[in-house]
Amino acid sequence: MIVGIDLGTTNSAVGVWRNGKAELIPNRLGQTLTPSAVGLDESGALLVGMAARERMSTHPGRTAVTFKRYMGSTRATPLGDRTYLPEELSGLLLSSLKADAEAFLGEPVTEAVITVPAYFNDRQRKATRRAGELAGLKVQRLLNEPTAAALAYGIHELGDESRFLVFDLGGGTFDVSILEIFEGVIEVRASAGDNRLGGEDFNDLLVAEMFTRFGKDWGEAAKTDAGLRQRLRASAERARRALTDNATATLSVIWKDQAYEMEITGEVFEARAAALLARLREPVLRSLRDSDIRAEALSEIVMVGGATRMPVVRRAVTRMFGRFPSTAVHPDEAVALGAAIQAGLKARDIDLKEIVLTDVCPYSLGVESTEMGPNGQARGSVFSPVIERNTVVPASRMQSFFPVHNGQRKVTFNIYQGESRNVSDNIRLGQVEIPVPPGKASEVEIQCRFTYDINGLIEVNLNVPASGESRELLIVDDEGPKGQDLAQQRARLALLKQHPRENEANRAALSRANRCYEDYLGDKRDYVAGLMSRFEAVLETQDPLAADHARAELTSALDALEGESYL
Amino acid sequence: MNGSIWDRLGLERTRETRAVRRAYAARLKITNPEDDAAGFQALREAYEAALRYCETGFDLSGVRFYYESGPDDDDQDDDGDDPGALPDRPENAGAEPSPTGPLAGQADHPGASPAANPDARASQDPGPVENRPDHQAALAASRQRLLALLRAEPAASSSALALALEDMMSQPALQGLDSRSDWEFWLARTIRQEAPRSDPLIHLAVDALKWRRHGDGALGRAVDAAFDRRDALEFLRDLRLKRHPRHVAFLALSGPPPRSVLSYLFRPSPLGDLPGLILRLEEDFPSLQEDFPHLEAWQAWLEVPRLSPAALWAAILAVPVSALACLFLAPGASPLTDLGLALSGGLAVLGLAFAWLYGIQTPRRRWRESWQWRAPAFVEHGWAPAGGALILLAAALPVSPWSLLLLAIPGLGLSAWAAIVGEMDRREDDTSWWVRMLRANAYYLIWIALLAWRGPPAVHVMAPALLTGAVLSALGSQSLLDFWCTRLGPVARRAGASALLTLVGLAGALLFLNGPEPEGPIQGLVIALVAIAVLAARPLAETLNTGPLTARHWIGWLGLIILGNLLSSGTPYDLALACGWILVGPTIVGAAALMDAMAESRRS
Ligand SMILES: Nc1ncnc2c1ncn2[C@@H]1O[C@H](COP(=O)(O)OP(=O)(O)OP(=O)(O)O)[C@@H](O)[C@H]1O
Ligand SMILES: [Mg+2]
Repeated sequence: MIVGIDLGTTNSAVGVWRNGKAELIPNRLGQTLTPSAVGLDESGALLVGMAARERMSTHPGRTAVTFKRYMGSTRATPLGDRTYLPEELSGLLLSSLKADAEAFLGEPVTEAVITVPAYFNDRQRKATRRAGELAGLKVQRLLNEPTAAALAYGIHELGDESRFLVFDLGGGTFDVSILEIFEGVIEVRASAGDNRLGGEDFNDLLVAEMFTRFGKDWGEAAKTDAGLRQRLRASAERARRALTDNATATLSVIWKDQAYEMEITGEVFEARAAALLARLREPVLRSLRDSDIRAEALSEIVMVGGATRMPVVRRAVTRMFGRFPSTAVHPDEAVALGAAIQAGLKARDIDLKEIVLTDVCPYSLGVESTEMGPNGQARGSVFSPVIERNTVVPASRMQSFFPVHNGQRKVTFNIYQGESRNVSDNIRLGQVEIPVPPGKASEVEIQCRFTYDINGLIEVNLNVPASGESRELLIVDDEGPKGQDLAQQRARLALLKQHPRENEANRAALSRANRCYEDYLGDKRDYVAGLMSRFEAVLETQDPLAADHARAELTSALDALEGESYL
Repeated sequence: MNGSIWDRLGLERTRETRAVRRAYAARLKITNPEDDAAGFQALREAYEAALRYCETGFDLSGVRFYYESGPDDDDQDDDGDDPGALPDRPENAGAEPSPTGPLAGQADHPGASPAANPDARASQDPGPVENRPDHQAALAASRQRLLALLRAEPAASSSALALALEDMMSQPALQGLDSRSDWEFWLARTIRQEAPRSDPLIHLAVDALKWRRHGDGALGRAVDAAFDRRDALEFLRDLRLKRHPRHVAFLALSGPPPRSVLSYLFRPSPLGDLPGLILRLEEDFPSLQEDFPHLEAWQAWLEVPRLSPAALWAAILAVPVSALACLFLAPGASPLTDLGLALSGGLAVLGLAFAWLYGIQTPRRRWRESWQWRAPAFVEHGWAPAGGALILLAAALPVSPWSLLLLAIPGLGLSAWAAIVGEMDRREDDTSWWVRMLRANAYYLIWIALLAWRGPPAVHVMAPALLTGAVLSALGSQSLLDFWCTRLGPVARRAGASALLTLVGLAGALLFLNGPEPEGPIQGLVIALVAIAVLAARPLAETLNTGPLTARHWIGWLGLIILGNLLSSGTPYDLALACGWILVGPTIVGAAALMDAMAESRRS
């Protein structure tokens, strides 16, 4: 069985193509969205999802969130007394999702289509792939998130001929894709994006606002207090969501047993967010230019990603396009549903026979080249693209290069991915060297062919027609960024203790209550303490039915206290 | 990938886009990109070519489309000289629909009505703003104002232009994505077309609009052209600065070339590195060629190899001056022998000048044209190790006039060898080489002179060896540079630098082992090591930017130590003097390094 997984910055979801349609798989708590959070409890056992998310502010040192933002880097996140790479944390999350899917489908799940932001570079994609392997999933395809959303949207529009833009602003990443549908072909025309822009940045804005307001009262220690920062973020998240439906919202936090509150209005928030909103424009403009489609010619602006619920974002989009965006798809579920459809395509499902999807490579691929000044001084490190961004994949392109110096005996090709003319701003993927026959530089041709296959695998072939010499480079690295191999990493993760699945819901409810206890003072705190001890007493009886009942009670009491818990 | 594009699509030749798309979609279901990558690529290629045919009516299936051509593509390939870059980008000759046309047609799009939107909250949003006719009209008017300013007589001030640009950027119509794209394209093109009047706008536009190089499509090319113009202007501004290495050439190029030999001889201003400047203009800044009306005349003039005016003067004056000198300054046995000596001296200088032109320049050109690429490495680079061996030999030989002669003859031969195979410079007809050689090696030459003047006899014979090192390295620097750059990897290069430093260090150590003793074989060996280091230092210093550790600083320092050692002859006073020198050495090196670093940062 192949499942489709939306591995998000804040929330993840799993979908599957069954009986001619895509559906989402609920997790052990019965929810379709699983918070992308991983943590360890006091006994050192693993917590994933809601239970971990709720502990973020109470146990910042033992919980990890938003690790997708660091995917592909070697940033080590401490969890308890060990540190983990972003891909390992994602791997833990994926194994939990896999377990949920297996429980729901009643059969082992070994293959998956995982979505990544379209603007993820090669390194980030490889890390995602490794995360899948760590979870024991064969990653059949890395699908671009906006493409997935477009599939979910387009599957209902196949009859028409249309062009639309998918605007995906999630928790941590921003993607724009322009697609065209005709005759059952869903064609991505262009993708652009910003890897570091999402709902979290808007939270940071509010956190910074709190610091400017109360920073003096809080003193120096507050600046580095991880717990406070997490509580602030949580409160910012809640306030931001409240602003979606109300004109004002309140940010509140407790520091040194004193409550601090700040009211914020939609207007103030919009003014503060102006710089972030301006960053939404550039990728949109770029994708329009790259696809050579005018904004007027788009039939629909499809909004996905939770952060597009924010009125400020909707307003910015309306202003940009001069019309209102569509709300035809569910912003949280579209990506996972699209991944499920792709999984169905991959499995050659009969219902999907008439659909073909073509995607593009979002980045340019090329080599480092040298420009010669008139005195023979070399201006090196110039990027020469071979496959330009937004070329339909699979693609293969050739270009000729020449040695720098007369009589040169070998040429080194450094392979890069990116858009900057200066290679140091791009991502280096590898290196090949090829010997060349000595001669006048302008007469020694080296043919360089880049092949980008449908899975994003890059192959570079060099060929010197004069000597028949050729070289090949396959850009794969199955090694972790620190040179650990997969088996080693997997063994390390296997050491973590797992909780039985059934207790997960109770643990999540307790985590939440615990957080609430820390979030409040005075009467409310006592009230939460009371709720907790009552719940714990029921748990001790080990009666599952009673526990479910008590949990429902606790949850509704907490909901009443702080508004609904968010995913 | 054979078969015509129409075969691959399974279609008759047509200009109907719909039919092409339908055919493509039908084929795609069979040639799925999932399992037939090559087939899909062929299909895709055919599809794109067919679409292009629908649009333009040209069957360009054989051509690869990397860029679309734009009307403003003055055929300038901006990568021009880059041997590592792509020379073959066929530009198709299709006409491009210019998005800069009048905007009237866009003003009639009312935008979606809020009522049609299911999201009730959205109705609070400010309505569509993009296509309000009054905004578009204001933008068009603002464009006209800028154009009028650019074409006004007399020219508008740059602050007026900046104001006009600012006014445009605050136009509400630019909130709309399409108008914004069109406008940026218009601006980039205007900047390029109205140059030089529009030059003050470039920096403003690049900064304010966050333009980047190497974009795609028509806008990308227009922006690139604007960037090229900006770089060209910066180059021109730098040329006007006195300290720019090509300032002299710039002054020469601003005027016409000399018309006769006489005006060449009596030219008040030197030419500087004129060929280098012209090459730079042609290849990097073609847009500047219009700024130099005499460019073509100069190019024709430079075709012919010539001696520099200084060399010509030396050759012309050598005979009379040496005759006069011999007659009046050193009266010999008979006036006739004096005259003979004088004439031969003068003729020798004359001969040297022409030997340079015809004995070195011409063989060098022929060498490069015919067989350099097939020559074994030894012929190309052998002069360097041979020079090193000669220098060591000089250290071993006893001091006598014969040994001097024995060294001088192969030394001259080696110099000719290095001069012929080792391009000192990219230009063949440049005769000011010795001036530059002297300048580049002034550091060493000064202390070679000091050694020859003040040093012990063993050193007298070494001074020519040192000179040989300096001359060889200057003559062959380009060849050595090529060698360092292409045959050696970075590891070997770094090893070379370390070897060089070790050599210098070894020389220093030997010097101290030798004590204050001013003469003897060790002294000679030390100098030989330094001379070899001199030989290798220049190309290394250029390929390896190691800052204060650059070998030539160390050599300079060591030279000063040697001198101090020589000057002291063992008395406590002299020892103190030597120590003083040793302390002064690092200070001087430090200062030189600092100045280098400062010059570097000023340049970048
Ligand atoms: N009602 C709401 N109002 C405002 N923001 C919301 C709302 N609901 C969700 N969000 C924001 O949406 C973001 C999460 O969106 P989503 O789940 O699509 O992201 P993701 O898929 O996890 O991240 P990404 O796609 O960037 O990897 C969070 O930052 C959250 O604050
Ligand atoms: Mg998402």
